[in-house]
Amino acid sequence: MEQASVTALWVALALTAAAVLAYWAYAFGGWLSLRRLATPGQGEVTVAIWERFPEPLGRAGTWATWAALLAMLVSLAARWQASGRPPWANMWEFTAAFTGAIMLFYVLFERWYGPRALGAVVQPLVLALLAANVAFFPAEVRPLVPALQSKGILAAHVGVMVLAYAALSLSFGAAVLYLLQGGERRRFPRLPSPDLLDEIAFRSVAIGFPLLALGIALGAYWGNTAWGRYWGWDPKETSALVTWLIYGVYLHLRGLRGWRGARSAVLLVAAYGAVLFTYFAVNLVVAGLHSYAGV
Amino acid sequence: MAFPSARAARLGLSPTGPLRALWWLLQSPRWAAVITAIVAAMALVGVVLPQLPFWARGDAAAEAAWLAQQRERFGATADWLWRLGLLDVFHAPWFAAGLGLLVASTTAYVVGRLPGVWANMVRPRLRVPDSYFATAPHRFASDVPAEVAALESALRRSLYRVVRFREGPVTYLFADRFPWAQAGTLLGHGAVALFVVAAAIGSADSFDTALLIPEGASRPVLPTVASPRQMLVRVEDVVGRFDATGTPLEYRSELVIYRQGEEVRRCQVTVNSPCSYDGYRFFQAGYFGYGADVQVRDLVTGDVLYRETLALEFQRTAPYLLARDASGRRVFEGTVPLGEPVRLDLGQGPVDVSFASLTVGGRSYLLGLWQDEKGRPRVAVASGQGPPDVVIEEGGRAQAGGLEWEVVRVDRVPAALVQGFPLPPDRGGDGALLQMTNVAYGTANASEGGRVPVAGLPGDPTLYILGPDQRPLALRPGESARVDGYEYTFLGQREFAGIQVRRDRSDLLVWVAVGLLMAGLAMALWLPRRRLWARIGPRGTALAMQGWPEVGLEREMQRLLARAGAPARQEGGKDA
Repeated sequence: MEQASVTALWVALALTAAAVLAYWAYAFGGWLSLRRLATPGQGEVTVAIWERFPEPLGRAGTWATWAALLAMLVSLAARWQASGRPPWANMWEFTAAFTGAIMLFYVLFERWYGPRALGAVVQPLVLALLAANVAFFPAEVRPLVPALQSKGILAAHVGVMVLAYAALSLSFGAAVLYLLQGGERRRFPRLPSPDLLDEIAFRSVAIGFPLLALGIALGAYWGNTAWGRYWGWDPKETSALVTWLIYGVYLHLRGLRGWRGARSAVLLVAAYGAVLFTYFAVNLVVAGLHSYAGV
Repeated sequence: MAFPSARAARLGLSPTGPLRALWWLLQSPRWAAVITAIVAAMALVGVVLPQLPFWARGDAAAEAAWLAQQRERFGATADWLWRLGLLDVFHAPWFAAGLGLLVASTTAYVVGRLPGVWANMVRPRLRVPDSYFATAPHRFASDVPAEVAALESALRRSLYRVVRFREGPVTYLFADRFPWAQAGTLLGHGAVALFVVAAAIGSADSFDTALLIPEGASRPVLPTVASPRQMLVRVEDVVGRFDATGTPLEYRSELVIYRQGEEVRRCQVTVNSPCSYDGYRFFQAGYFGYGADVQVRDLVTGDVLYRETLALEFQRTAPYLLARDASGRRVFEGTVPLGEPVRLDLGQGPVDVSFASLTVGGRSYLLGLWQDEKGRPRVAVASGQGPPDVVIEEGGRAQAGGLEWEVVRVDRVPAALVQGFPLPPDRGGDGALLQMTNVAYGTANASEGGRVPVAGLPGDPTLYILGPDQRPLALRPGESARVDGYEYTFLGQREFAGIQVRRDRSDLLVWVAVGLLMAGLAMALWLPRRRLWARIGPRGTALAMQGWPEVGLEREMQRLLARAGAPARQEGGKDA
């Protein structure tokens, strides 16, 4: 089953790569073709098929994403079966679960809101994470160190953190797309309206922010059970708190100061930097109580 | 938010005084965002820079040693970082001040907003001026009069509470959904303040002590030995289990708790499963496998002078040697513990050399170990009184005194310098150096766990006691050695449990705060309050809506109008 989980992850990676190509063609291909057609002095312009038929490519991107999500679920299920515990106890497993959760939120948002172009940013992020996973993190199932030997709270705390980070990834995707779109300038006709992107970004923070709070609270509960203290300013927990505070600032500025558009999009991109810092850097670079969850 | 002058008067604040300005500042969202960003930045510094570990805090020597390590890493900058508090951010006064300002801001926000939010929840504004339908930020209008009953029905299906009233030919509706959700932000902010209150109570009231207890031993829990609440915790057994790579798989301790001589609790603790008694919790906070149970007896009187399980918590370098005779037969193999280092000048500056004498085949050899200028270990072997015959590097071989010596590796063996260790009366000194070879965490002797070789050959651990005699006493478990009327016995390797005992009466507050926070966030973000005013007259329908977050309001009005049979015409807002 362990090998099956690795194989399924490779399948997910390949399908994600296909989804990225399809979404890029869908989101930017039509615009590129229009630009080329509008360029004077070029004579007869050859327009590639992928530039002329973006709608089917968008659908292809969606199907590829669903298939990648399915492959990732298979990978996680096989991992769970092989290890006998929730499959997010080290960086390889966490990254696999994280990418799966990002895709899950993405397909749900795509169904709720309609626009597929968000996949042109979210799926490359998933692809990059999966590529980093297979490149840098060992895939074998290792026994858990004593501090992690609590399946229930491991499932709850880390699982909720995975979901929180995944939801916040969508806000990053929407914010990047907003900035690419140039706000009201609407550089890319295929991309959703700036207001919709702003709303998607907010909605995903509205999901991710409470989940992050819950994940931190569950971590505090675990800390109290394992070490007798809720909070110890461990780098990982502090970094997660800082991330939460940054998103809290975003919500305050949006709700009370009316921050919309480019300003809040830039803030969301920076906030996602904090997510990645908490996720990668603290485990791999900074020594702390969460270092056992590194590679 | 405007500061109501009546409340200001009740609080005794002058309309233009500095307290009023401070109150305004603390309630300002911009201020809250700034102070939150500052606290986040300060915390981030604490994540990126190494922080003084908890075990060194309050121990001047440990602090100095830790700071010396940081100087090696950061150079002279370390001292500046230390003086600024950047190497102990979370205990720095400025960090506490930042947190205090954040809590003050949060509290001011809750206090300042509470009356208004309460009034808005229990006495919402049922009617807005007609002009509001033309100026509201979120509004929709239709030239067609909506079917009032259909609109009301659509609102109720969407969980709105609806109030209808007529003024001549015009019907007004007020619809309110989840009015209590408006308190969500207050609950969330109140929870943040409560967390800090809980932390303050926890740090002021909590009891916390760390006990390192060997198997078979007991320790009092409270500092006041004669306290009637005193407890004695006895460690019956300690188990450490490791895999072949040395990764820990399990730490477990069997505890018995006594109060006033009576056994009151017997339990097993693991890392994620503490034991509780009378509000105190006993955590498996540590495991230490290098303990030596040692007894010293006076042979004249028969009295046991000394019986301790000693934690060999330091490490000493010791060469693992192999000696072969001329026929190639192994005549010695093992780790050789060394004595206290002596500073000598070997021609390239002073170095610390540790010595040991070794008898092989009836012949004495003197061994010396030091590190060369590049930090590589060097082992000298001398077969006589003069200079060494050979100097061998790690992994090397050489002939000395008729034997071929091989330095297989240089190990680190557990050791302890024990002050007050009983020595025979005619021996000088005030202690003994104990080292143990052939030991491993979780040996079959000391634990139920698997074996992880750390040093030495398979077999029993060997305890070396340097001090009672000219030569080290080498003892295997159960063995004794007699020196000048004293009998030294190594009773065996023992394991220690690091037991953390805590009592924290802020638990309830913490979980109340968590509940408030989650409820507040869920109310504010997932079940937000929505208020809708409708004016339905012969010339058309106008809707105006308020709610936070301000997303999807126009879409909702459009949907409601469609259900009420009035085609929509957007006049305000963005998300149609």
